[in-house]
Amino acid sequence: MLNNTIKIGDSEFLELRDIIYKQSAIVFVENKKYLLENRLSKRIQELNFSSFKDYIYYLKYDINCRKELDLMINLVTINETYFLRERPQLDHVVKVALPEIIAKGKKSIRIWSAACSTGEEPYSIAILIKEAGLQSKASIEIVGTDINSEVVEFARTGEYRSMSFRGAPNHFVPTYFKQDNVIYKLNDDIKHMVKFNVGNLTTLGIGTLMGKFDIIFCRNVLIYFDMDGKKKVIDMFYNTLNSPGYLYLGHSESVNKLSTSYTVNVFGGGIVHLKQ
Amino acid sequence: MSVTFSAVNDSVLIHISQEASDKDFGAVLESFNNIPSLKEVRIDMKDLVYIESEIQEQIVSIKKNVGAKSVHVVLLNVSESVYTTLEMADLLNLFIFKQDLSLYHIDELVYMFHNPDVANEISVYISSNYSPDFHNKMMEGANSEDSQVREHCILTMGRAQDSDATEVIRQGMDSVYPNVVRASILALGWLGDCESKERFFNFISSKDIEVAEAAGASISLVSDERDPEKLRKLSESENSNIRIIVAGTLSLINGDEAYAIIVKMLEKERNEQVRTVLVQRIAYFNKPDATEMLISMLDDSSKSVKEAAAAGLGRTGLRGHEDEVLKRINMEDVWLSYFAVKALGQNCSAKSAKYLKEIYNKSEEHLRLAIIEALSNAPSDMDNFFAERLFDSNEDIRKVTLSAIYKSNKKTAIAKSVKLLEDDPSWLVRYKALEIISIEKPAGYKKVLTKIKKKDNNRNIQEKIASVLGI
Repeated sequence: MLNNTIKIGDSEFLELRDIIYKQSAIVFVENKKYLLENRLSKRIQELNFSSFKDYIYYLKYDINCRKELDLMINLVTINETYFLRERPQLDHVVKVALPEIIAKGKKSIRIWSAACSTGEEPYSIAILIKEAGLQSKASIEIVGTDINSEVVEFARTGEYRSMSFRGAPNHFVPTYFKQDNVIYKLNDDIKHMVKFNVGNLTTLGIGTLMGKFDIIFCRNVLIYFDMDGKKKVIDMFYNTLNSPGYLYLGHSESVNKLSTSYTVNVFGGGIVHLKQ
Repeated sequence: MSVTFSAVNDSVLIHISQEASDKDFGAVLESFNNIPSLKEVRIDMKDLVYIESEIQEQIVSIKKNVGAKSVHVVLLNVSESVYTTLEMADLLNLFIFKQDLSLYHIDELVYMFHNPDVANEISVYISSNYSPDFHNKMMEGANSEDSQVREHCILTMGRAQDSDATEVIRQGMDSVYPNVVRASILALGWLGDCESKERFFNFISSKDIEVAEAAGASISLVSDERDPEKLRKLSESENSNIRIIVAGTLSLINGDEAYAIIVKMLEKERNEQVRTVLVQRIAYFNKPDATEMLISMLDDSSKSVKEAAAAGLGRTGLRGHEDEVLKRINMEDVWLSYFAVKALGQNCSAKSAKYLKEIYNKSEEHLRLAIIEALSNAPSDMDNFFAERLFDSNEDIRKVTLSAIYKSNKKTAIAKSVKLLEDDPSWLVRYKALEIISIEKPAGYKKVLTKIKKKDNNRNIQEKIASVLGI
């Protein structure tokens, strides 16, 4: 009940950061301390603990520590997102990237939303593809993955609350969702356009496992990796992309200094990294 | 101007816009010469979505220009992308990073309500610096169609004790958006709005658990002597969520009548989750009866109830029940024992200390950690016991032991810290040692740290030493 936020000490933060990094390759920088406090305080109190120190012992010594580590990673990796976020990149996919790929004669196209969180991004792509009538020109498969098993499960349900629509125009909700009290249920035709899987971008061989893609979205995720992690992910994307291939990163992210393989194309409102 | 600056006393504030080029920095660098007492250069980077290499070079040259005079360069409001770019260039150690919300325009602050990770921080900032302009903006936002803006504007008005906004906030309870309803309930509770109390009671049955929790919290803030009875009736609900909310509300009200109801609830309750919550909540009552009740729950059939009771004793204190707690420490239920040892350790008697030392070697590692912590509060001399533990193969045990020694004997702890900082294979232990040295600052500590900085490759140790030495 309105749990108090438990403060994390400097050394506890560093140790927990280490544990999270080893588990997920995600790096929490110093100014993200509050995020761990906000997301883990409730769990710590549920376990009857009163400090992060106790919780770290639990993560290290409890017989079920493996399960708790997974739960903790789920809690700290939830990224809140919304439909049509950073829209210019999404528009670029349907107005430029897909038409270019289709014009080269490709009939089967794959799109990967590589850190899909609760699913708003891949479903946004699906909706825009449907609006643009591109399904009749090629078979388009959209795959969403996330390290967090809970958000993937949530994404599969296709059920959202109003906060997921803060970037959407007025017609968007009534056209693609059915309202049930405060829940908005995505129409089945859109839901069936996207498949979801749990996946960690830094796991060895994930690129091979996922297969080849023509378009990859990985927005606002690289900021959580250290340099080594960033390089690995960017290289993996390059190997996973077909030629031509399109990689969309978050506005605040860049492959600058991470890879020289991509050609950077700046368009109105965004950047796309191209594999020629 | 793409780069502006202003000087106040011994500090310079520089603002850089996204359009800035290296040519815009000439006057800034010259200005430093006109301030002989300059102590701090603050660079506001809130408008930089990304950073060009030429701007990066200019910032580094500012650091070079003033660094020799021991002037701190503080980078303010740095975005994720800029931070990452500076990290890639290995420049993080050169600067101090801070956030200064006073540099944002009011519209920018309201826009930041869309980011759930920072929205609360923004709200607290606005409410702490509340002004007529903020009031007007929050009133505007409280009528917004954007549910997130509305939620946080309402919360901010509540935090700011803006009673002129009461009516607008009450309207929020009719919203179709649960986040707005929750915010309105909380804000009205903070404002002490007794007129809304009946509605709060209705919301306790809300399907949205966060709305129900908010209602419970707000009832406790405006409660009077009639409310425990109303809560007693609600405690008979078949819905376990409602019973949990009622338990929380009663513990927040925290009077004799509330305590009596919560005990009655526990006697009748069969749901393990609710029983656990009830026991957790009993620990919030500061009375001997609560301790007695928790002691009796140590024999409950449910593991989670027993653990909650033992953890609760750490909050209430043992009040003469030391023996009953000592006999519950066993090797089977390690977390119950862990909480029991922590409760004993708050005021560790000679008797408890003797027993804990006896069972130490038979205990699991995390119980050992709790025992060492408990013994750091023991009246008897533990020097030999602690000295042995510093050679344990478990890094946590070495670390906790060093903390325990620091509590009882600072001089010994400093000497041990210097040694462990040099030799210990675990960065966790070395970091603890470093913390002790940085607090106590023994003679020659700078020399020691400078030497360690050259040989210790651990990033955490490196950064801590740099911050202690100011380099």
